[in-house]
Amino acid sequence: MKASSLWSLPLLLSAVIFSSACVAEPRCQYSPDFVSSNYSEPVGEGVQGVLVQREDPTSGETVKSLTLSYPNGDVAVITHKYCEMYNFEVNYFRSSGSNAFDSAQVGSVLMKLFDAYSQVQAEFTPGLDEIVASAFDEQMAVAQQQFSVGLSEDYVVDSPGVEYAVGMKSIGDVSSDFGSVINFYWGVGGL
Amino acid sequence: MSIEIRHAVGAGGVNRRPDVMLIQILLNLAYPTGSAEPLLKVDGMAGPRTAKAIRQFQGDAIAMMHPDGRVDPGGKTFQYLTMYLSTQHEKAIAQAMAGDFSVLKRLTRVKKDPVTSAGLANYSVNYSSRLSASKHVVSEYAKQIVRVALKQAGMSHAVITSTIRTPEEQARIMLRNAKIDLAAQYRLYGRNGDAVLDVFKENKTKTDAEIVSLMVSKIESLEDNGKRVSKHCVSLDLYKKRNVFDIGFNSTKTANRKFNPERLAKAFSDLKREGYIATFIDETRKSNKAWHLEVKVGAKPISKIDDGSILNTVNWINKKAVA
Repeated sequence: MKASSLWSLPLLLSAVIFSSACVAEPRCQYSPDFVSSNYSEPVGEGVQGVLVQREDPTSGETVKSLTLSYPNGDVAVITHKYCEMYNFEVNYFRSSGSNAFDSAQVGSVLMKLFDAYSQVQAEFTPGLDEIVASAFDEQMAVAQQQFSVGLSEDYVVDSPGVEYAVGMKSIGDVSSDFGSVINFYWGVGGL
Repeated sequence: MSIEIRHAVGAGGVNRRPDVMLIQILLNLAYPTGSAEPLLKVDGMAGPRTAKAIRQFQGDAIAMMHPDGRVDPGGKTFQYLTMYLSTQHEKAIAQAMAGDFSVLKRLTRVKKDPVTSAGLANYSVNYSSRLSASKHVVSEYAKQIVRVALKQAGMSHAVITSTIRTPEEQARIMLRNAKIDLAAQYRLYGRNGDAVLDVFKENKTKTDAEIVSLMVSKIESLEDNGKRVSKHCVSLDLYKKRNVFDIGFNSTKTANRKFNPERLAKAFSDLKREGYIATFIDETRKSNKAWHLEVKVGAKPISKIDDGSILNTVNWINKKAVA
């Protein structure tokens, strides 16, 4: 090991120690490593993933995000934010050239992402895909192209106390690559 | 007077005379004979009758599978022996330790079943006087769960300080706690609660009344879209299925002569692990200073006994009391 490397080692170590002390400061029900390596595996052929880890500056919660790029141009950003409670969020950006909107397909995509990545799972009756599709059908029927609605906890078997919601927003006027973004939120625990 | 022993009493104990005397007095109070003659002669000598009475108490009141006939300082047997002492008892004990048994004898003449007194009936779970009658909506099932925790903690009272909340009550509580520690509040709420906290953050310069008004508007607009901000802030129908309530730290401390917050928190954690409590958040070191509990009503029958369950003691005692 070179002398310069040796000199920089204490600095590096102190940076690591300082950094972990910052993350560990709040007493968390979910420790920073609660979301481990399996959040990094992209699901699907030809799908590429990019990982980002940070600390929420407002709350001190650990935030781990995985951005998945699909061959058709769609992009999904999957975010885990946690400490006292576990927040799981999917923002699915539909590319401008995506097929016509299909609520059943949206339900299926969100359910697959939930099953693959959420670190706190639950059983839904009916299935999550049907719950989501039904919510989209209902909102679309009243011509809502932009919405965000909470979903019933009654559908969650033996609910550990959750809040979850789906929504959609048109972003075609601010993005040349994407026409809309679909959002799914799942929060477990907390007050 | 502090009621305590310095060394172990009974089988294998140091059996220091004043310690043995105190345990004999406590056993006499636990097993009143109803006559002028107490169960044990208070002589400070730890003989086989004293050890037998300790074993009897360990079986009756603590449901120990293998009573060892020994009382350790601060141990479970000592904790249960002193759990029900009133100020009157303590004065009588002090007098007896000084050689005057007159008051103590009167107390032990009153026949009181130790088994019944060791059940859950003596543990009280009350509402704070600040909570109006319309907020007295916690189920008997949930209260029983809290009584079990109190028993495990060696405490006698719990005070419920918050149950179901209106949007305005929710906003006021969030405002109060956000002023103390905003980051902690962001950690404790999900996305909807965070949106309400954002309102506080963006309007800090306004008056409290104005901020509350804005927060209420936000809560109501979220509710219009089927989103709840807090588990406290739900319809009464939903609340009746899942009781969400806070046990206040300070009010519970005031109500108890013996206050063991760590033991109570451990008991809540144990009951959560066993499936009696759906969610437990210890907020006693946070701005809210409370134990936040969520109990799914009837989730698991209280009579159900699993191996190692902390309910074993309670069930055993209650069964014996009924029999």
